[in-house]
Amino acid sequence: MWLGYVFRELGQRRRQAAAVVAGIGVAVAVVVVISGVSQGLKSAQTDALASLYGVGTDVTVTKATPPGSGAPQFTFGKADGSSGSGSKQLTQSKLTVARGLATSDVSQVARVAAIPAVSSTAAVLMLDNYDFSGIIPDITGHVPSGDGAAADGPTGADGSGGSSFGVDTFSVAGVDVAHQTDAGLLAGASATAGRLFTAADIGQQVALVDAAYATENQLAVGGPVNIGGVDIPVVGLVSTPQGGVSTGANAYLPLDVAQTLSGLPGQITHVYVKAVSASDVAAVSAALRSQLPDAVVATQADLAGSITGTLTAANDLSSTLGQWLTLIALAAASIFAALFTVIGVSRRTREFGTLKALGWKNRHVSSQVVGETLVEGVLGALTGLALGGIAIVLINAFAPSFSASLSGTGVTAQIPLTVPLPIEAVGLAIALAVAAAVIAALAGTMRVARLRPSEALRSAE
Amino acid sequence: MYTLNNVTKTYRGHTGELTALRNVTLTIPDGEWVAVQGPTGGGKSTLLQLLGALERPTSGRIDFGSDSTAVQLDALAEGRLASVRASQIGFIFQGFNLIPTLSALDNVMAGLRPIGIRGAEAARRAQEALEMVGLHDRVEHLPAALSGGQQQRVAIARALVKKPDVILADEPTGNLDEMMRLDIISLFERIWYEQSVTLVMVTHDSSVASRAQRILHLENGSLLADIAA
Repeated sequence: MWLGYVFRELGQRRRQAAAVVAGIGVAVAVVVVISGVSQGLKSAQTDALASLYGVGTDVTVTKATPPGSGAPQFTFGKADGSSGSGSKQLTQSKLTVARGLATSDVSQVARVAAIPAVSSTAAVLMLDNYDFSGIIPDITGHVPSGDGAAADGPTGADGSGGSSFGVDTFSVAGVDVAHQTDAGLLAGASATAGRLFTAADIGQQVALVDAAYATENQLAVGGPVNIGGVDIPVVGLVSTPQGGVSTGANAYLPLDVAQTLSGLPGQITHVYVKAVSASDVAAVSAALRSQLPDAVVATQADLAGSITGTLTAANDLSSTLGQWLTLIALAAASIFAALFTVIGVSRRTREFGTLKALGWKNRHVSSQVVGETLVEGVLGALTGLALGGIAIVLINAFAPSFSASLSGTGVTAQIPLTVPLPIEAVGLAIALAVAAAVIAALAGTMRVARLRPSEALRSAE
Repeated sequence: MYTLNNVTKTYRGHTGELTALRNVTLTIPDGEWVAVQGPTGGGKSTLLQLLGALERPTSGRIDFGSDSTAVQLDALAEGRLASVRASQIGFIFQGFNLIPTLSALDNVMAGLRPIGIRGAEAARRAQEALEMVGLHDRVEHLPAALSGGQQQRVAIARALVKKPDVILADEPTGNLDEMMRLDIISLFERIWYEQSVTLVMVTHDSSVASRAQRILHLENGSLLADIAA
């Protein structure tokens, strides 16, 4: 009878019950989405780490950046460029050490590898490739007029003197082919077309290109990619294990080739280190800091903290705002449900007064109110899970992507956000709905306790 | 049996105090049918509430029950008062006060829940009570599907199902037409006779009151007349 009474009462007061269910449902949906987005962002951060540093890397060793290092300058002599139709076309490519990084001698790799508990090492020379192209007015042989007035040279509509310049930049990593899969940018990466480097590629001008970058720039296996002004054949397109996430560099060369093309023989920017076990990471990093005082030693935890970009901003927002939104959602749902429950109890004075007159004790009447609010809570949880699921599907359909960069390196990865429906969110949703229902039920039972059975007789007078 | 000794009930509200019952002293023996009459505001319903353990008197004493099991209602805590109501007192209201979402059978079963009788046993007893009031073919009907007289019969069945010592009825025919009124009064007569129950009935209707063994007339909260019929 009790359950039948509960469901029939809810059916009788459909609008009120629907309002409470909807209120709890919206709150639950908010929490589910926040929880899902938070997990998605955490997962994206892991992907970003793997993308920027490679899978399996425990520690990175770099060198402190010298002050004042910045973008390269392009200089041209009088004879440079090709003239025609009153203008001069200028192009130049430069392959320089990536902004914010400094180089170390490759001998550092051996020093790192000699440290106990180091399982493997991989050296990388991280470079930036700049392709300058521009058009300037050809003023060769132009003679000022004899009256001292300024010559009527071209000015251009934008005041640039008729010039037009553009610089395209992409990142190039010179990788230690012998250890490319042990640690570093290509560890865990796979070829989506062509192949990875082999030992035979050492000293050969061959390149790998990030699959996402290749798609964006119409590059393909067998075709050339211009690096440092040299057309180099592409032998493979590479992708991260996460899929859809860009790798840590746009293009890859064998280390020795990269050193030659950049004019940095025997130089590297990174040593990626893999420890024997996770428990050795602290000892390895401590030993590295001790033995390489000029080096910047960073563990995975340090690396996570050095990632900047919209992904980090979104994650920070999700962490702080998410907690507040969860609390606000719980409070709003509880107040909403409690208000409707108390109003409902007040409207049923005669009914509950009658039951009390029949001998029902407060606990009997309260169990009725609690039963009704708990059913509303469960329905609210299911509604919220459904709404949250739909919202997550929509978010994933639009698949917003976030950028993640390593501070000072200019290396950026685009990480698509994939929001899961976390299993713990189901538990959280039920807990939230039950909490709101319990708070509402408490408010209702307090009203029931104050209700006098004589109200039933009075209402009949 | 009820014994009221100098019972006064005063309500305190925002507009001041209102004494609804003043120094009432009376005894109602077991098995008696008592009609309570008087003008509106005379204290009839207040007397019924005190007899029904719904309210406590402001002063005075109310004893209820036979010698061995008598309880002093004015001294009991709310939980104990609820237990007395649940097991010994059956209420019948002018407006029937049925739960609109429950069937006739479930409404009657609601009277058994506080005394711990549930499930099949409760259904069996409720069915018997509905048969007693002539509604064996209406057990699954909701109140809205029943006539006023049928609804009052369900309310009577709900009061009877726990086999109470006392039935307290507040204008039980007040909302019924002439035909149904006579029908319900005949039912009350039969129940009172067959069940040997004490029946206290508030009524404005003198023809109903004339069926009782005793008529109490209340006016301005005082017991103006105690008439044996």
